[in-house]
Amino acid sequence: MANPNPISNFELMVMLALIRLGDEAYGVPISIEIEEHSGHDVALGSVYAALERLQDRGLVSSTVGEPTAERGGRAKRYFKVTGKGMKVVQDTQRTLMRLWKGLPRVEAGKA
Amino acid sequence: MTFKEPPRLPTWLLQHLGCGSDNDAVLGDLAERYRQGKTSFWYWKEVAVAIVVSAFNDIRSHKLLTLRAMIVGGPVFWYLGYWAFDFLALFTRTWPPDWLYSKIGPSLWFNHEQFVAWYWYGDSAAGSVLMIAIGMISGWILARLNWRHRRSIVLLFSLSVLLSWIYYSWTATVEDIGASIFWEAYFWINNILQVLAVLAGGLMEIRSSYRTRLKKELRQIVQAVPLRVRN
Repeated sequence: MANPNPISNFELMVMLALIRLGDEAYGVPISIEIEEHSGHDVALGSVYAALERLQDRGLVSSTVGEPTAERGGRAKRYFKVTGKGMKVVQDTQRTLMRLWKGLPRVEAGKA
Repeated sequence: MTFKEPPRLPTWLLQHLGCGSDNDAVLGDLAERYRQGKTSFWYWKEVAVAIVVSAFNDIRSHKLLTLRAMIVGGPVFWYLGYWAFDFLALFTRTWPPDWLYSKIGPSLWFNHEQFVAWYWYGDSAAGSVLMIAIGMISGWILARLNWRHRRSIVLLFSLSVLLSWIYYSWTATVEDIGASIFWEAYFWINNILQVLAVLAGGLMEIRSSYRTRLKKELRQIVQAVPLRVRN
């Protein structure tokens, strides 16, 4: 069955980073997590833009933490994947698994 | 404990032009990473990306509103421009340099040639001031009319002004812009100043409505305090 809530590759990476980080998921660790696993630089602005889109769709929720001096008196915003978001991640994983299955050429490193 | 302060100008730019709902959190995250050893160049790049991406995100999720703003903003800008330059042309037709020189020239230190040259420099300077004023008024009107998405709309509109001048420079003849490097530089400086003026006009509206909102909120807080406590 088709996934009714398709998300982009980057949005999926952001959601997976949120799941990995648990309660410590705010901008800085999310971007570091994606950078470490993808090997690419990730702009914080892009992470927040993706998070805003996911929040608008109800896939992610957020809460504001306490402001700290290290951040110039600005508060952290913590993000969490919602139940609906978790279902979308699982659906996407299943879709990708189905697509990967039966691709012997790619598995052997050929185009 | 003292912390390394992030560059002020990009911080100010993101504060005022960032279109995302989490501007404060983004600034906090940028400050945190900057204090962990990132460079000023990195900070500037991150701010530029945050402004562009958040504007694009905002425009993408409000396509119709953006289209309406551009349909309103474009004619306001170009109509104001034509009206202002017609007014300037009326001035030069009513008081042409030769006529003015015949009236007041001999009493001045200039000879005729110098007088005419300075007259046209003055005319060009007046044109530049008009262009800047039109840019500021258009930016202000657009921000005023599109309160919820004013940052992204003002950014998009200033980009459209820049693109329209680039298009004009491709299609215009040498006489339209001026044959010398001086006039070409004047043309581009004027256009870039006008693009900045659109942004400045939008920012003026953003700042003034921010102050009004702050005053309103303060008034509400004061009104919520029981009279007994206030006295």
